[in-house]
Order: sequence, then C-alpha cells, then structure tokens
Amino acid sequence: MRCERCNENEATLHIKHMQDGVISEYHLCQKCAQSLSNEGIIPDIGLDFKIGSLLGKILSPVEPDGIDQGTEADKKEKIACPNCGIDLETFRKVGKFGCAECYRAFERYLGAILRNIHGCEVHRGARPGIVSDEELKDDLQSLKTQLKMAVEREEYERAAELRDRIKMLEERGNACS
Amino acid sequence: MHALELASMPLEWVLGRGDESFIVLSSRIRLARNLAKYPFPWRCDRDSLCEVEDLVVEAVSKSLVLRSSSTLKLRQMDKIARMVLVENHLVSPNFIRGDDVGRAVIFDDRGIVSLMLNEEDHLRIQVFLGGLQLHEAWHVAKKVDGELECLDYAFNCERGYLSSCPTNTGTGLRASVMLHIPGIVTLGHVGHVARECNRVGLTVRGMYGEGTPAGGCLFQVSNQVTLGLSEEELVEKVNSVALGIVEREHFAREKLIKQRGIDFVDKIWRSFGIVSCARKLSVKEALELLSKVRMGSEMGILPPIPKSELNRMILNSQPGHVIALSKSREEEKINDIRYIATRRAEILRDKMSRFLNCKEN
Repeated sequence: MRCERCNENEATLHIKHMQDGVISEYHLCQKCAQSLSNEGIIPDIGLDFKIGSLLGKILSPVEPDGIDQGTEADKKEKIACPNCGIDLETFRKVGKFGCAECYRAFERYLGAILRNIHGCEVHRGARPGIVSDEELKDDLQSLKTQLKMAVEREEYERAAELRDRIKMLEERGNACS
Repeated sequence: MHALELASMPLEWVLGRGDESFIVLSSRIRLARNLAKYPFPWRCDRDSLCEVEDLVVEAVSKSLVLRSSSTLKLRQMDKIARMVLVENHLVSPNFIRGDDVGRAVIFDDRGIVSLMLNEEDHLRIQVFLGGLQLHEAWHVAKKVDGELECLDYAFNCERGYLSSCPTNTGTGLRASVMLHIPGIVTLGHVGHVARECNRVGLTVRGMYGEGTPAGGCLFQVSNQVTLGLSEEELVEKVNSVALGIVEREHFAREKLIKQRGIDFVDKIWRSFGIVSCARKLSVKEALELLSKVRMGSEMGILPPIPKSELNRMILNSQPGHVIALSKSREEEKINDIRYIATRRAEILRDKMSRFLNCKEN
C-alpha cells in the first residue's frame, strides 16, 4: 500500500485516531507521519523516539588532531594497534576498539572521536585506588613530550590542545592526591 | 539454577521500595570494566575468554558484597532460563544472543548486584534497586567496583576506564531509571519529553534497553555520555530529570481526570475487568492493561493493589516467565503464541482474583 499523502513511499504506518467520537484512519510512510505529527494533525506517536546507533556516522569523519596529517599511505601504516592488530578502518566499521592498547595506538584520532561522542575528551570521574601516582606522572610526562614536539613542529593547534589536556590532568592529580 | 527458580526468585526491585516507586519502577547503575592484560571480548580467543571468566569468579569469591551469590554459565542454560534472566534484568538481551564461551552471570539472592562476564566488555557491574534510588545504587556499585579492582582494570588517567566501545569510555557508567508514564503517553507528550531528555544529554529507550519496544508506557531514561563528568554528576543528572518527569506525570494524570472524567475512569475499570477475566492475552495487550490498572490503583480509582503485586504482574507477563511458570516448561512452547497467551491470561487472572472483591473507592 502506498502512502496516502505522498503517494510515493510504502505506507508502513497505519494509524487509527479517534477524536470526539469520530474515527480517522491514516496509511502513511514514516516521513509523512512525522510531518503530520509535527503539524498536530495526528497525535504524537513517538515516531522520533527510536534513537538508532549513529556511531558509524560519528566515527567516519574523524581526522587526526593537529595540522600535520600525513599522506593517506602514512595514515594506514601508522594506525594499526601493535597489540591486537586492529586498524582504523576496522575500528570505523565495527565501532569498537580491540584492546586497551588501541587507545594508545589511535591516540591522535582519539581526541576527535571522544569529543564527537561525549563532547569532551578527559576523564573527570573516579580512578582505581591502585592506580599509582607514578602512572599519573608517566601519562603527564608523555603528554609533555608530545607538547614539546608539537611546538618544535609549529603545530600550534595541537600544542594548545595538549596544553589543555596537561592542565586538566594536573588538576585531577591534585584533586586525587 | 532452573528457569522456574529464576522466574520465582525474589527480586528487590519488584518489592517497590524507594522513592516515587509508583512511577519509577527501578533504578539501575551499570559500570563497564575491562582487564588490562586481555584483548576486549570480541577480539579474545576462547582460552582468554575462559581465563577472564576464571579470574573474575576468583575475585568475586573474595568479595563481601557478593558473598552469597550464584554463578551461572551461559552454555549450561536452556533457552527459557536465558529469557527469564533477561526479563529479570540480570543480563542484557545481547548477552544471551552471542557466543556462549566465557559468558557467565553472577548475582546475589535478591538480584540487586549482577555481574555480566564477557559481553561487550569483560565485566559489567550492575546494581538494580526499586523506585528512585540511583544514588544508593551508585554507592553499592562503587563498593563492588572497589572489591574487584584487584583484577587490574584497563584504566588510563586521562581517558578513564577503557571500554570496547568508545561510547562507554571514561566512567563506564550508565545510570538509568525505568518510568511508567501512562499520563504523558495518553496526552501524546512522550515525543516532547524524549526531545527534552536528548537536549540535556539523556536517552529514552524501551523497557529492556537499547532497541527494545516501549510497551505498557514503560520507558528507560539514561545518560548518553560517560566521559567528562564525574560519576556523581552523571547520577544526579538522571535523578533530577527523573524527578521532573514524575512531576509531569502527576500533572498529566490530573489533567486527564479533569478533562475526560467518566471516560477516563471507565477505561481504567474496563482494563481491570479484562485483566481479571480474559482467557487469552498477548504481552502487548497485557502490559497496556496492567499500565491502566496500575495508574487506576495509584489514583484511587481502583481498589489499592500493592506495588510488589503490580511489578510482579508486569514481570510474569513476559514470555519467558509465562513458560517457566507453566507446568510444561518445554522449549518448543516458546513459539506457541496461543499457548503463551492463554497461560499469561491464567497467571494474571489468578493474581487479580485477590483484588476483585475489594471495596470500591
């Protein structure tokens, strides 16, 4: 059955609506039902309610942080996880990391991925009691080294982002200690 | 543990304790955790999955919170028991669909704490309480999490707890409440509420989570993001939105009774009549009728029915429970819709018979 409004798409929604004792029947496609619902002609039946997985779309346009993005060949070579072997393409398709090491392997892409999903990229919550201050210091040291390299390469956008991350981590360190 | 035992086990949330427990059926906290030394489950070989399972089971044996817990291996469970586990909210629908290797569920005798092993992440800690008790649930989850820390979690100071899917990275925390909002649904305001929830970073889903239908005006509201806010902030966000929805639901019910009067009351009594007398009920119809009965009882239109009975009726209407509670617990009955519908009506008639002769308000 075709949608009675646009007469193009398949009518996938069959709605019976009773108002003041009068029954009205509608045979509509998803799109037309949504617009009639928005116009208040048919009741809100929660058409915009299904929140599908948009993860693929969120992950696909991700580009590495910083200015020096390298060639396509560079990218493919650089970004496979040495521990589990997952490459960026697989990650984009599946939407999952293969292991904890992937978080380091895809470090340059991670900021953008996390910002797209969560709107930020730094953890502000609890940490395991057994995570030592040494580990926190190691993470800070690694970020400071990356910052130094970014400044040397004149990658100022990346440097600014690293500086923010260092600041947040230092604040967290103070808060936790 | 057999399907019948699972279907009859006492569940804390069913008792309906906790604030606002007429409208907020349950509160749930879930933490996603992984073991640093192993690839995430979907990249793990069979041996590693079994090793992870053994390590978690060993860590749990030293836990004080889970000292009287049961461990069920998925591969040892039949179809009906699996369905009942999902319906009891002890595992996710995805958990029973995948490969059985290394998959196990550990839970306490009241179904408050449950651990799901080797689903999307190595470990999912879940705390499930009745009513609006998100802060209490978080407190318990934190305790269990602390006891299991010896497993050497995959954690990074900057990114937090590392999960298989980046949507769970950071706190790995999902706080959710199950709401019964027939007033909002009847007034046609669900879409509006869902959009508002989205605007503040919350998601609205069906009764059993992602991708499940929202039957009987039951909806789950949970946080979308897990990174950038502390656990307490995430929990409070869901808590305050839930309170806002509860308020709106009360308002919607008042409006319905004022606007529709006897038509509204008649619908509620008719639902009460059908649940009490029907000989065949689909799960959809049963949930819709029970939704009206619940609302009617809460509003004083129907005789008072205890929350624990109302919750139990919702649970016992689910297909797994219907088969598990019937005399012939045969797997082939799973596809026998007529049989299940008849048995469901019988179960509900039996429950409702206690309230039939109660004095009308």
